[in-house]
Parts: sequence; structure tokens; C-alpha cells
Amino acid sequence: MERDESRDKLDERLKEAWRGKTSPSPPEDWEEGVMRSIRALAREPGAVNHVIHLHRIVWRSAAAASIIALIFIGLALVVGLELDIDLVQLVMEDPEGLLELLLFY
Amino acid sequence: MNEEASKDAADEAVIRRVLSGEVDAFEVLITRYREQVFRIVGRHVPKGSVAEVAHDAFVKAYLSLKNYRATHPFERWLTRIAVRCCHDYWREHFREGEREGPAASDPPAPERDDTREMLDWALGRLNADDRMVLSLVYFEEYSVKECVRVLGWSESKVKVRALRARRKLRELLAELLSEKEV
Repeated sequence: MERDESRDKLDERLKEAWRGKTSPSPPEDWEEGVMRSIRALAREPGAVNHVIHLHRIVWRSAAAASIIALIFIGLALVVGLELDIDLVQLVMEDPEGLLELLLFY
Repeated sequence: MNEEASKDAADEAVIRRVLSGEVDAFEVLITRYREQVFRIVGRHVPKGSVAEVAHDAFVKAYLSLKNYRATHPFERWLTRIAVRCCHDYWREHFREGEREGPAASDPPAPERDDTREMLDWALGRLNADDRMVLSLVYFEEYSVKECVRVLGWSESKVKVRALRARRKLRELLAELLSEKEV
């Protein structure tokens, strides 16, 4: 009980200390410095739109990526189905042998 | 139209000018919000670094201006950017490995009656994530949802990290206070 009270008091003191923090005022030429950086960035072609361009590239390549994914799924359905059947057969016929094969070879 | 709404409309008009190529119009936003950004940044980073972090915040705001959506006030959007810049500052300046024990360059443990020094000393021993989540949740009294938006974490991560960070801070202070009593 006493411990809780002292903890609460400490919390309150910490919050007060946080609220009492003072910040320096912006130095006189600070704003001009920020504007210099911004003007320099504005002069670089495309600098402002890096993120936008990245988004555009992602969206533009989305259709091509989807088509490629569909082709792979189609191939997997045609080619991979037989492999699955083989695997099921192996498990059914000799489960211990398959486990041994997977673990030790 | 109330004062807040007219301020938001004025900000939006300036943003439109900047986005249409009138870069110098951005200075209006800097003048309007520099004091506020300095106040936010000043609570999170050492005084000597406030101007630099505030500078970064405005540059980042300019670079992401195209992503700003007027559904929320510009002021709130800028605040988030400023807080993220403070988080980045601590990620850059705090290396966990260096904090295993007290380093020679560490400031001496503060006197127990100076709460602000004690707080700065203890926060200086927390990593960037713990420091930011603790500052936002317990000292700035951000809601968990607001913290999620600022830090980009999940809600459960915010809750868990805030709780752990608070525990760490208490342990550090308890250790400091017991050392001083000896």
C-alpha cells in the first residue's frame, strides 16, 4: 500500500518533470536553412515524387505479376499433380521407409 | 466557419500551391508550425539536436506532401512526422550493445531530488522503441490508437512495449534511488 503510494507520487513527479521540459526557440536563420534544403530538393528532378513513382511501378507491374503467377499455378496443376500422387503413394506403401529417407539421406 | 476549420482550409490552400510547383509557399507552413514542432521535438530529443530534428521533420513533410490527405488536419499529420523523426533520432543515437553497463562517457547518476535529471538519465538507458512508446503513452498521454498511427505498430505491440518500458523505467529509478540511499 505504502509502496503503491510512493510509486504514484514518483509517477506524478515524472509527469510534471516531462511537462516542465522547455524547448529552445527556432534560431534566427533556421527557417531559411530549411527552405534552402527544400528548394534544393525541388530542383532535383523527381525527388519529391520518389514514393509516388515507386507506387506507380508496383501497380503497373501488378498485372504482369498476376499473369505470371497464373501461368505458374497452371503449370503446377498440370505438372505438380502427378508429383503429389507419387508422394501419397510412397507414404501409403512405406511410411517408415519414407521417414527414414527424409531423416537420414 | 469556426477558427479550426478556417485554419485547415488555409493550410490546404497553401499545400495546393506547393504541389502545383510554388515551392516557396511551403515557408508559410514552416512559419505557422515551427514553434509547435520545436515544442514537440524539444520534449523528446536533447536541446542541442532540436533544430536539426525539426529541420528533418519539415523536409520529410515536404517530401511526403503528395501523400497528405485533407481528411485530417495538416497540424496532426505534421505532428506525427515530427514524432517519427524523434523516434528515428533515438534509433540512430542509441545502440543497445553500448548500454550493457555504464560507459565512461555516460553522465554521472543525477541527484535524487532533481526529477527532471533523473527522468532524462533513466530515459537515456531505454532503447529507442521503449523510450518513444513510454513518452507517448505515459507522458504525452496519447491513446493506444494514436500511438499505433504514429509508430506504425500493432495495437498489442504498443500495449506490451508500453507496459514493459514502464517497468524498466521504474526498475532503473528504483535502482538509482536505492544507490543514493546507501
